[in-house]
Amino acid sequence: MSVDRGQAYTLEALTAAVLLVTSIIFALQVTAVTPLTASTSSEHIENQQGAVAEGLLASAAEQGNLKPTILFWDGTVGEFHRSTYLGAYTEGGPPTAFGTALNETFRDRGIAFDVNVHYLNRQGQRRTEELVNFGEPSTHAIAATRVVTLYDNDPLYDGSGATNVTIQNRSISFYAPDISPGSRVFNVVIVEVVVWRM
Amino acid sequence: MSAPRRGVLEGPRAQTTIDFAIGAGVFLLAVGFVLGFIPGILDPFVQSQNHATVADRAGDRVSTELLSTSVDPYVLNATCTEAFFVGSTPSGCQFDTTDLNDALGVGTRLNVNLTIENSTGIVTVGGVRLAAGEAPPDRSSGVTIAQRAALLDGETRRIFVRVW
Repeated sequence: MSVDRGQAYTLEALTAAVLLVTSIIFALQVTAVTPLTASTSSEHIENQQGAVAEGLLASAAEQGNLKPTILFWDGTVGEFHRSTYLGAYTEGGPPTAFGTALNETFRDRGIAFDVNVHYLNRQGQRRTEELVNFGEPSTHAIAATRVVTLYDNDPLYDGSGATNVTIQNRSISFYAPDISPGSRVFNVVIVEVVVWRM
Repeated sequence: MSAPRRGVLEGPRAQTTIDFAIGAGVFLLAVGFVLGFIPGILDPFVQSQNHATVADRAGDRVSTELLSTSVDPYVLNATCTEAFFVGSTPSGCQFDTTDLNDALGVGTRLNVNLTIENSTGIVTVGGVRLAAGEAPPDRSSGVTIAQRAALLDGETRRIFVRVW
């Protein structure tokens, strides 16, 4: 072994390399957010947003704002009133009290939301009508649902309140069909609010 | 005449190859163990409650049990809510203690702050400011927040539970 070699054995070199690599990995792990971080969401935040969405649906249902929003349908055109794109609202909630609550609670705090109305068609299959479409939810999205029953004599709503056209009127085109023609129930829909951080 | 057998002992080293292998193996094991053990040294001795779980449960409790009407979750009873923040315990409400940690089910070692806010700030209903508990510290880390939305007095409000 000559005296002027700084590295005596390969083992020493290996240990030095391992130490170097682990210190680099440790330093990188300490950084919380990198430019490639997909979302600043975490499971706790998702749970909180899901619970807020559930509370919002419950309070809207209690105030009687949920059904007028589902029935905010223009029967002659076959779309929601003043919808922005492809029959859905893409810049915020619908222009109803529930939509205002959604905007205040979510959109103004940087949280995007989708609102879907799931109904049954005559063959008993589940179909979806989009009410609010902010885009495709991220992988950190969470949803809250609420069941609403529509009855035959529920009126459609427009900008000035309840119209005198009911959803069972055959001259309008409502997105959900009457799945139970013999009874007072028109359809049972599930309102789903999907929220995710922008 | 047989050729001189060259055994394992070659040269002036007293350490054979197998000795070296065992020594190197022990050395690598020791290095690996130390590298794996160092993060454990920095953990505190006492494991405290997970703040996120506690805050989440407290939020659920406030919005669905404590201040709500007995029938609907996320709908708050205005009389009981005012009484809770004032510090009285009327009958007919679902809480019987005015201690905030007790009522929310948070242990005594954690600090908790409960507020009901709308978009402008903390709500005042019937002259009662709906905030309880000491103010959370100014530091941005270490305070876990749970939020809920509930109906109070005809409007949707947000409930914030801060735990640190």
